[in-house]
Amino acid sequence: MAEPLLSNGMSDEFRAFLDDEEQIDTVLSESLELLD
Amino acid sequence: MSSVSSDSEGDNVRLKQIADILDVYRVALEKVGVRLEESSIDESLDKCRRHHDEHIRCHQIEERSVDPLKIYAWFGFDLADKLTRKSQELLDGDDSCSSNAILAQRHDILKALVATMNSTILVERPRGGLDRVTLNYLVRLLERELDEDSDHGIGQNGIFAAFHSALSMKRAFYRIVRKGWEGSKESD
Repeated sequence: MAEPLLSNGMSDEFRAFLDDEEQIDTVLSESLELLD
Repeated sequence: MSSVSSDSEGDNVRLKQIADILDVYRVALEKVGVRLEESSIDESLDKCRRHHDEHIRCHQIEERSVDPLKIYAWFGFDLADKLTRKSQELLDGDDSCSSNAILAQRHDILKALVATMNSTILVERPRGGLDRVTLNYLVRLLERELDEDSDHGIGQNGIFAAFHSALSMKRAFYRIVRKGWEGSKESD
């Protein structure tokens, strides 16, 4: 049987991002600006 | 008894992580002007949790924390899928105008999804995400899949794999920058 895949999905930066409403707003706006 | 308590505690942590992760997507949906009924959100959330459990079991994944890219992929694709079905029902009832309006909303949901997944990559050091062409290409691929043209589309696993690969490459590149080529051998 194959070994289990380890998944540590959330990086430290992402955890900090989740707690920062201002950064969420800025980063989402930055990404949305790129989309048609 | 202790293992039941421990499992239950683990489930609560996991559910809290999923809720926190999805709060970012909710902000993105607000930014593109999409307002969804809470019942629809709850339905997609249940489906997302069930699919995530099945995914973890199917691929024998030892999950230390919930992967936001997976949650966004499962949840966002399901929202878009529901709108696709609603649009088709309207079209079947000869209401092409309302059907097109629903498809426009679906486009916004997919834009919000791709922007949210890109944000997950963008916030990691060094700061930066995918380029304009790639992001728009991903939205088109999702739309093709939803329009039953899977030869030219990608679904929930495809969008997850695209961003997962991009993030893995970014992390590998950053390790190489810091440590030289030895850094490329690390697996996480």
